[in-house]
Amino acid sequence: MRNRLSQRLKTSHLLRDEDLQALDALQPQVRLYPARQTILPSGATPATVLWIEHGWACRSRRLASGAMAVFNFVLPGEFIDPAVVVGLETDHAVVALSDVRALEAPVHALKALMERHPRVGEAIIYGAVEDGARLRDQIAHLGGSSALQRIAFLFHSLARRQAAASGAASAYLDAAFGHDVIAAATGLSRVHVSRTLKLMRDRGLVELQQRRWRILDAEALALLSAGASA
Amino acid sequence: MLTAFLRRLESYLQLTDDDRHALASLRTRQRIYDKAAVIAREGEKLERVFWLEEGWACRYRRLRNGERQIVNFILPGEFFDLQGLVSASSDHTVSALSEVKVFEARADDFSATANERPAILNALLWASVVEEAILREHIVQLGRQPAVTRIAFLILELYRRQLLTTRTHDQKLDFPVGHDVIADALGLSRVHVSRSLKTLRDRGCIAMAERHIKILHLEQLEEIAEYDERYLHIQPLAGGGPTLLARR
Repeated sequence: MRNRLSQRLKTSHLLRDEDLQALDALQPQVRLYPARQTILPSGATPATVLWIEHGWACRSRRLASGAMAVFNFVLPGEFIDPAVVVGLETDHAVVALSDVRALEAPVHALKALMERHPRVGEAIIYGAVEDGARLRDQIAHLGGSSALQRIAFLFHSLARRQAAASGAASAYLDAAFGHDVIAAATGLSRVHVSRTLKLMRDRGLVELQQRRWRILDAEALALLSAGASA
Repeated sequence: MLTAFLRRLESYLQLTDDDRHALASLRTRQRIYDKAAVIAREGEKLERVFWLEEGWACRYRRLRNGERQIVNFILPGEFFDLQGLVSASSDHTVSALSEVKVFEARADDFSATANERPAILNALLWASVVEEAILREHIVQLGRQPAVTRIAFLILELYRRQLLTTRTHDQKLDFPVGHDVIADALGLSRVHVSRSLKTLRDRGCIAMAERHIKILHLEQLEEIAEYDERYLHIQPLAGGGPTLLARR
């Protein structure tokens, strides 16, 4: 069966059937992590590489002030940390936001595969380049945006990313992260986040429904987030 | 001719003579851009990859209010617009901050070379992972940190990045840009930037000269910056190569 990593890398349009078959033949081990568990700590150099099959995680770091900063999310099909693939030490922690099912393969097996199938390496670079573009988006939105624009951008970009990863648009985000994560991801205070989310509920933009975020008005979110940058 | 570029890649892994030869025999074009010239424009479809040999450039986005948000700096030896490898459109504008010397190659030539040589592909992957890490730190800085911390952090980061190609631990950072550029990168006003730089000078952390910043007290600057440079992934080469982290 096709795993989510090969599905995700396939979206680069760089891979041929033999590359995908090689990825599917990696025979990874299943690893399960309950919500809030640290999947990979900072400062690790694991000999195995993990990617998510189901569930969401976030990348975070604790600042000297004690505050938590969340600077990115990890969705199905994405590596828990691509730095591991090139043998680097992890520079941040990855924490499960929901129950996560991950697959794990030895780094040397993936590297040997990349030597035989260099297009896989290119597709991984493509993923990193896409991620870079998202991070630049995020930086542009931190520059001159209101709290409403920042949170709208967060929901808008996560919904788009989830659609790209799963190949289908959905009104629901597959994770029930709380106000604390939104605060850590936008650099806003929790009070500010709560107030803004109430406003967004009242305006019919998003709401928390059965422990999942539901996007009520994707168009309005897109407009709000576009308002922050030309 | 690819000095800075090769030095930077070789701070991560040892290339063989064959690898170096393969890169050196790429058909490249050298171009000189004046200060403030646009090297790649937002929305432009890229079929080339670039690397910077001399000078400084930056990537920026124009905000709707007309302000410029610098999302990253590009220093000698660094790649930019690997989007070219996947024929994507640029999501930002790249412009020269000083006079720069740039090499460019056709993305498909470059990609063919990388596909034949695992070390080069691996080095490219390393470069893109490091770029992501730098962007993540920028997000933390913008969202969370006070002005003095942001500026101290930026100075340290740029110095460490410069070290990858100069390998000279003289605690002197080339700084060919003005306060306006720092302001646009860190989301601060110019007045705020000047005041924060003055704070760092008064505390004896740095001295400023024409086009240079001298780091006078590294430990103190690191403390103010809450600096943990693990994210830059500057590591000694396997097999006991020279460590770039060694301090004088």
